[in-house]
Amino acid sequence: MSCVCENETKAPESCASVETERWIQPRADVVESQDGFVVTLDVPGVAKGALDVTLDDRTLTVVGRRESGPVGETLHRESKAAGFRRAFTLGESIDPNGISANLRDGVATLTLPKAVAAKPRKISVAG
Amino acid sequence: MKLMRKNRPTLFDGFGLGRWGNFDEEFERLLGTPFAGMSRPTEFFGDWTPALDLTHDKESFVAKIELPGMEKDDIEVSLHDGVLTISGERKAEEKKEDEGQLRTERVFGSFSRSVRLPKPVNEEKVTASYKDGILTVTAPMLEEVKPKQIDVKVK
Repeated sequence: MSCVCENETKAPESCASVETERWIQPRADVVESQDGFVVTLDVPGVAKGALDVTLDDRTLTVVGRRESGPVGETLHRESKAAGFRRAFTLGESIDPNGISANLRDGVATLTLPKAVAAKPRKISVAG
Repeated sequence: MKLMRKNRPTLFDGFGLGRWGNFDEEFERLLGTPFAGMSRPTEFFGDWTPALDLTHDKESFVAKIELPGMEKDDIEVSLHDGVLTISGERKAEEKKEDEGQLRTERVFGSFSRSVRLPKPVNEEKVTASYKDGILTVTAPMLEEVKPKQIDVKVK
């Protein structure tokens, strides 16, 4: 059962306009373990301080801003002049107070622990 | 062009990370990228194709390539006959035993991008740095090919 659902159904890295800024959806991997979920997003070019992770009710939004374009004359351009934005809806099993985020070398890692009640528990059998 | 499988989100991928190419993206890159002025189209090989930008100012050519989550030791930069090649391998993170993969979108594996620099450069002075997932290669032009300001005298 997936407890991390997408708000947007578009394919990753498609551009969507939110207000006047352009955004790309970063590629994300989601892994589930007994303790929780780990969401890993590729956000190359986003420096520490330029990554915002906000939780509003049960919507987790990740926004990563980066420099808008290359400096100097462009001979060849493949990167997109946009920041990254992606939102997830968290299921009931996730403990919102335990969420943590880490950014290293253009990879953002969000750790979403499961609430204690949601973890599988061994029940000892007496007798 | 190497055939890429269409990327689709997986709810539970029992095969681990795999190598999911994004066909739409590759196609868009081939058809949509501008080939300005002097530069020739770039060549690419490998499991995935990181985005490459090439710019220049009065002094040097600057190549920037998006390589998130890499170790510096896994990136190779070389210059041969005026062709700059950036290659390497992005290793997948090890999966722990009790983990289930719910979604796999990120790309891993080997890559190689080559680009012909339009003017000769000083090979000894080429530098590369890696920060925030971006590799920046700076190749200073040889003195004789730098753009020079020519004074126009009006008689």
